[in-house]
Amino acid sequence: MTFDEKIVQSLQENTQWRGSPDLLWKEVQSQLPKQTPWWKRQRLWFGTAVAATMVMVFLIQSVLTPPPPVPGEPEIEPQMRSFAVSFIAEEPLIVIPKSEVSLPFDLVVEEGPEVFHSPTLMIMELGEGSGVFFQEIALSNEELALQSLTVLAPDQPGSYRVAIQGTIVQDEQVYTLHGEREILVQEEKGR
Amino acid sequence: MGLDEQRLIQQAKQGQTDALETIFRHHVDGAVRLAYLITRNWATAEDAVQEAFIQAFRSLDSFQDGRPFEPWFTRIVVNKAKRTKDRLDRGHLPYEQEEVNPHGTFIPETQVIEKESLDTLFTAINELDENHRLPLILKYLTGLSEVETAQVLGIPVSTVKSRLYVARQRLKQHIKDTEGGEGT
Repeated sequence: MTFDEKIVQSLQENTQWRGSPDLLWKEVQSQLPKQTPWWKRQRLWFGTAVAATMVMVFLIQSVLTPPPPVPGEPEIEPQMRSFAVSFIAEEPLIVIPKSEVSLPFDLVVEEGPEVFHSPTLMIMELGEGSGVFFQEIALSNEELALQSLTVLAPDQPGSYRVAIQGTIVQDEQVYTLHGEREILVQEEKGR
Repeated sequence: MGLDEQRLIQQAKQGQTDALETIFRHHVDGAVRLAYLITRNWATAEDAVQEAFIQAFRSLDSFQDGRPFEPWFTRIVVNKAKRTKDRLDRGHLPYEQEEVNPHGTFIPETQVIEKESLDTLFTAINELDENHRLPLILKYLTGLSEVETAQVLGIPVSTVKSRLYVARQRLKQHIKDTEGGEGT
């Protein structure tokens, strides 16, 4: 045994901890902040970016959309209903650039005020130098029925957050959509 | 933990308790041993490590992605252990004695001699002043590199190297004096 090995062994054999990691963990855990739900975990910049984008989309739509024709008879106010879209998996989804990504989601009824704007897909690059890219999307009945949204992955490798938000009218019902998912774009192996 | 460590830290930053617990269990044993060598008391060491984990987990947001967790966390443990020790004003206490061979089982003579040799070495380590003892502990117990040890202690790498050299020389001399040069 070398002198260095003797030092290591001497330190290890004379510092055998007989305590309980379980008890210590309970003490540590009891003094940590409670885990926040995923929809409250967003950083300030994310919320600001979403709000700013939504306002911009709303303003553009207000300017470009012609005023609706005056109705001959009073229309029945569509009943407002709101659903939250939450993507099922929590883990980042690993995809290759420009590939089609299928994002499954759940529909959950929730309360809340509604603002009319087309469904918008936002793809935000995470990390330093992150940018925000968004595009309007049309959700097909099939996608709604299958509870799965198909989007095109970014062409640059990196970590992204995909978010969807907007309203749709279907069968005189107004639905508000929102949800998000983290995806990891990686070059295909062997390239 | 390697690549998994970075993934765990990301999950821990998002508040996932499972990830926090995995990090805790990976580091707790080494942290308590290190704190014990600084505080010389197991209960005080556990208190210091508990405080260190709480501080580390609460300030995970400030932890830079991609960097190794161990040196960053070790620095917190060392600081907490030193402060806890100072707070309790225990001074240079002897280490708590562990019960040797509590079940009274037969131990071969060679093992007894080896154990005595390691105990002598540990006594010599214990008698080193803190400036020379801490770099030795961080290198040989925690397994940090000299660069990481320098970062943890906030001293130049050259100082770490010279202190390690001096510490080893003193240990060898101590063993030589005690056992007639068997440790060299």
